[in-house]
Amino acid sequence: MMNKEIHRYDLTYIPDAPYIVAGLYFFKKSDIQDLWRKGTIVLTDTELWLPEEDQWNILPLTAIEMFGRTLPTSSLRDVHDTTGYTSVLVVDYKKQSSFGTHEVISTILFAGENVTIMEMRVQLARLLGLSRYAELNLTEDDRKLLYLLSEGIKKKAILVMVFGGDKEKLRKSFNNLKKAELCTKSADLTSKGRDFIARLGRMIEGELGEDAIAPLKGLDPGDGNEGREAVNTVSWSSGKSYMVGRVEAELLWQHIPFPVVADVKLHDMGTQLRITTTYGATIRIKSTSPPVLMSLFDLTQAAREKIPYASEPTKHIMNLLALGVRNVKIISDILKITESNVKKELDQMFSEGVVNRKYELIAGAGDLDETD
Amino acid sequence: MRLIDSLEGLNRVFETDILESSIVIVEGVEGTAKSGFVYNLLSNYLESADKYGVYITLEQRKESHLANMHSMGIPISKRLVISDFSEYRQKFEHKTQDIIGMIETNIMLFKERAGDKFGYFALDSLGALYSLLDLQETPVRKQMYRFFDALRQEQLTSFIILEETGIATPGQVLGSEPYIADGIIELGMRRHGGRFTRDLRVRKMRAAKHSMEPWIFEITPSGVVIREEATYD
Repeated sequence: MMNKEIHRYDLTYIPDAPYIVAGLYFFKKSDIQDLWRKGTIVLTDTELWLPEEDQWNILPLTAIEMFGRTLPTSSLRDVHDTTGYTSVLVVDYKKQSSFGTHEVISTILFAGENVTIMEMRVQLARLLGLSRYAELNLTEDDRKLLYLLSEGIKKKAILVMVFGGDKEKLRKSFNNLKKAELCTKSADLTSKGRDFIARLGRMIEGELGEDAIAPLKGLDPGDGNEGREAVNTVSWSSGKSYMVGRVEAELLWQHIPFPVVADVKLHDMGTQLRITTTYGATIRIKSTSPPVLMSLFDLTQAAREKIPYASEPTKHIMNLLALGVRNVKIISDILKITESNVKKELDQMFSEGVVNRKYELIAGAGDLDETD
Repeated sequence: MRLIDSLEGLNRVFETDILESSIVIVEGVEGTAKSGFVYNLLSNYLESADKYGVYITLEQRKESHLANMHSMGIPISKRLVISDFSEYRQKFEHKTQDIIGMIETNIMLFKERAGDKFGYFALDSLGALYSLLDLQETPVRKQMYRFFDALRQEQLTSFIILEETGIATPGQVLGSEPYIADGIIELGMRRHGGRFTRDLRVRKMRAAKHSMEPWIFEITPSGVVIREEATYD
């Protein structure tokens, strides 16, 4: 009869809720249970078909304003309590008001198995596309940054690393996102930003490499990963000679021949640092902790360009702290900055809340914010 | 039971049955009971033949349609599922991209549910369908060919209601319906014996023997009944 694309999803759903701004709490809990329907949702390339008794409620995809919006935790709890599911997909759509001629926003809430919700999300993203955001003229970098922010990766150090060490590029993209109202000054995604990301689907994740996202996500000290040791591997090769071994993060700097560095690059989305020396040796450092490599990259690049560490003391002390080097004398030796000046910088960082008394970096410090 | 045995007296208008998979246009002015005639014919037939059908309403709400049928004494059958697109029109008319594609999807989904027993289709009405077509993209004639072709491919015996408004719709201007439909039944209202009566006339029905004369019909407490051949002056 026709060559239509058809996808089917067994889901639980609330078909026509008033636009849920802050969640379900305006419904009585006992009523929420009654709002849910169960059935096979049909998604074609032009409509969503929601079963309703012996017929269907039809939603043209062109009416969808936003999807993928997040619900507050309290609402997610309500969804879980009433359906048993934790995976939710929110679809906001525009329809004519029953009264008058204006349009109103309504919401469909889907809940179901995670794999089903994900599949539907991916197909919707593909079918809806990004055409409505074409006029924003976002660059690949802007999209990449928005995606990383949506994944909760907000640490400036990590983002700079993903941007190949180019802070200006990062700043420009952040400004573009704010201007396009896709994210707030504190780097949180707006509803529009969430919709953009939902429509982007897995595209960007594919571009970044799924393997790269997981380690990046685990870097926020607030995630409870602060106690986790980074696994670092150093390999050295020159001609037919080759050495490889594991090295603790705070000792990695000892394996970089700073005075004879000819080139330094970050590879594989910041998970590998490659250094070549003026004598033709290649040193590869791999780490499960990209900030470790970013710090080493900064230190090595400054050495290669013969820029005295003392010209940017705060930055390089931060780099060493990120490696776990907290001893004032060692920092002083590496950076060729007097111990008293190192101490002064550390005291300043402490007063600004960047480090604690043990000179450990404090969670939350260094997030992308309005000052960027 | 034949389709023409489903309404009392219709087998006097027809000598042989309407062929399966035919597309029949039922046209008439307002008040000629087009919806009642088609719904009554199909619901009676489906109940007796153990078959299923879908009745798509683009203009009237399902509740309103059923109330109307009830008021005419027409029995409601669960075998004739009413698919209400009127609410969709109200909510999303300006966002509709491909209404014919939607009807096709609707048919496909019903077919999945009812299987081979699903074989009957009604559209109420063609005028409303025209108002939803994107005439800029594809000429109406081409779209109607596609639609009728889809109905034939699915082997659905279809009744398409067309209201005569006196104002030509784009489709009527092109005049494509009579050529692509297999049958045309006209419903009218005329003065007969000092009072207004409803009548039906089969203008065309491929492969079926039928009267060409108008026949008076009435809405009785048990639905539509064809009474007698009209003898107008």
